[in-house]
Amino acid sequence: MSLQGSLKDIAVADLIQHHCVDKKTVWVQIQRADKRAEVFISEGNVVHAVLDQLQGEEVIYEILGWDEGTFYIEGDVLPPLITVHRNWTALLLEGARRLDEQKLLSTYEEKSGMAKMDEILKQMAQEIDGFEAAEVIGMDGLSIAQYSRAKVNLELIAAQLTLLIKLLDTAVNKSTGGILEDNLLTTQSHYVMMRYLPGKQHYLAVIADHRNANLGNLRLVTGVYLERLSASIPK
Amino acid sequence: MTKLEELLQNVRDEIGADLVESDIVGLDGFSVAGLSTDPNLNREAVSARFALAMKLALTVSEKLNLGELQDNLVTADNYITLCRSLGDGSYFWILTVKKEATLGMVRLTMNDYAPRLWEAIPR
Amino acid sequence: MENTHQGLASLVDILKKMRQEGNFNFCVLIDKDGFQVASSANSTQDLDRKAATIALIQRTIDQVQRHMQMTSPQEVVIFDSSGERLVCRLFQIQQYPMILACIVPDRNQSYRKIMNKAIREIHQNWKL
Repeated sequence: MSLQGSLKDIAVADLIQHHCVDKKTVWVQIQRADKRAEVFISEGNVVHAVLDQLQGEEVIYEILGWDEGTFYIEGDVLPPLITVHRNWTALLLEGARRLDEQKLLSTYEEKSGMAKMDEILKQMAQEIDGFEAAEVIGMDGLSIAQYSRAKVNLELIAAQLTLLIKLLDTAVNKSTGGILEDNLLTTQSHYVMMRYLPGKQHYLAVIADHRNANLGNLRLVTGVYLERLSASIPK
Repeated sequence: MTKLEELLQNVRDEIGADLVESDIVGLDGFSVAGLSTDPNLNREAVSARFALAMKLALTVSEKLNLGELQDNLVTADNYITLCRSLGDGSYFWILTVKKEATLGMVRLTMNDYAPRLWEAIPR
Repeated sequence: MENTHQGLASLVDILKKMRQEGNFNFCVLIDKDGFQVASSANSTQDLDRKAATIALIQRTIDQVQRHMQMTSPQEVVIFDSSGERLVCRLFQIQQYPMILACIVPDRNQSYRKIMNKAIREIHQNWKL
């Protein structure tokens, strides 16, 4: 008996559960990118698992988080070793607990990083004369950090300025062969400073009131804060 | 030499060796007058692309209620390009300078000459 | 007209104190591109224009250094026929070259001590 499929259609936990409940003896091969894991189920119990140099329970906990890849199952293949001793329900429960913990940690790290960036923007605002609003914006036009003192539509600002910076990027590259570093838009009532963070995946946008701001101050302070913001971007 | 060309020469004299190119373009991106000091730079291409960017900058300023657009200063690793709206916004002045240029002075020179250039554009 | 300031407030205060102590017409701190970083003036003056013009001095300084092999020039003074002086002090804060400039109206008036003190305070109060 052999079977193959995609992890998009069935989760690893379900694969294991199904064969354990039915008390099957199978060899499950799971491939994700360049990684290949093997799980041996013998008479309804997970008895051996291997992934590169790793063996045993930890392999199960690792692959439970795989949501992409393919699987191949062959029946009646005996395990070469016994490296898993926990019963399958306890294995899956522990695996689920660890996945939940990991998700919480990632969310926390992301939120911490973003909260820290908001704080940095707030500090920066104190150094900029005439400050109204600042955002760190991804090249997808979505803001990852914001601070404003004025009533402004930060989402609209992020979207519109991203269109502009992308067009300017192309203009600079195609016409002079250069690389865009920053852009300063001056209107009758505002300055809008846009500066790439190192790596050019994000940029800092700052809006200041023309009457109270001065350009030297705006350029100096935004330049200083670029590195701090870049260091705080959640990975 | 037309009045417009004469004014552009005056600007070049004021800014000096830092000036790379200077161009007056319509909303269609076509140049009505200009000069360039760098034979490796395609003045028309620079101006057409930056005129397009200025049109978008005009739209963005309106949508975000930022007030009437005055100018846009683009800093790249090789040059700095200043783009200024002229008169009723139907023409732009695209000025590219070397990185060593004193930007404050270039910007002020543009502010000073912008009204005169607008008057001199044949309409 | 004073800069209404929320940020880099200490720089504006330092310049205000300097202007008052020295009875200068204006004081301005300028970056290498000729933009004001902070200023203090006793009337509505076109400080942007003054800042941009003063920054041109940096170009001359660079040439002097290069061709005359002088080590970092620190002060440039321009007198006019009435005895009024434009004094420019060039210095660096971290990696940022700056010019501190003021107009000294009286030909007999001292300025160096006051400017030295202001520069010291700028270094001490630099928060960035």
